[in-house]
Amino acid sequence: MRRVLVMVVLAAALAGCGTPPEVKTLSTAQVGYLKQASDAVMLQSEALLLAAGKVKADAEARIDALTQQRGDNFKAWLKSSPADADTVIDKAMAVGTTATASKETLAARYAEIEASAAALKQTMAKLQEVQQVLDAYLHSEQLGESVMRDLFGSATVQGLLAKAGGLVSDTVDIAGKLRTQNTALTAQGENA
Amino acid sequence: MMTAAELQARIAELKSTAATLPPPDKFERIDQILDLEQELAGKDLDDIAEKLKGQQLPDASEIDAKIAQAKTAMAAQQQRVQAFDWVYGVVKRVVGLL
Repeated sequence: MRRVLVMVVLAAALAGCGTPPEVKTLSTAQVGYLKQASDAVMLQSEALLLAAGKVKADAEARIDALTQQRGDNFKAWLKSSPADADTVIDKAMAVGTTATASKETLAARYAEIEASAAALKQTMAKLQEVQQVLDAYLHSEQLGESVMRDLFGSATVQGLLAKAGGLVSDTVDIAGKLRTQNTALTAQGENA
Repeated sequence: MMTAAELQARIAELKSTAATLPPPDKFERIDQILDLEQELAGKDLDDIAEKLKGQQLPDASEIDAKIAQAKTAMAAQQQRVQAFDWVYGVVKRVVGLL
């Protein structure tokens, strides 16, 4: 009985050394959850880049179409007012400036969006790495686990407590049986 | 601030008005409007890019440094566990513990 009590007390003292299996399971699950969330974020980033690429292409096409319209406008202007030839030629030569500047702005903004997506991707990968490191730590052997294994054949706190509980109930059962036997023997003695 | 739709409507309105002007003012005004449209087309991605500028992410190098520190600490922890297990094994063998 005393040995059982010593083991129970020792088990309780060592209980803090192990990581509960539920925590380990949650940690491993979190690695998976983060991977799924990361994949979803990546898909959304790709979708955003696709949409941005389409907006950029549409805008570039519109800029080209507007350049064409400005050319047609200059032709009509010259036809209508040949005296404005110098002004029209100056303006026609400057048409490319706005078109080029606008296309450069689009390209710069698209590059910024790409950079944002890449930064997000990198962060998600880092978060996964952090969780993997934490998971590895939670699954690594902690101080005293070898003692617990020897004592109870289980390194987990739950297993340990179950064993301790089993030992206590076994002891109670044995005590109860002894008490019953003792009572029966006493009765037999009195009858004799 | 005008929305894109409001801006388009305003440009269409300006174009209609410009078309009613006598030449050469009409052509000059139309060219100014077309130039404005080209400039605006270059800003089609500004909203998205501006929104993403608000994206604040943790510093990757800081995360890397913390990961490296944690890995070093874990390695040290494992060495302590191994040392403890070794001593425990020796005691178990010599004393016949358990």
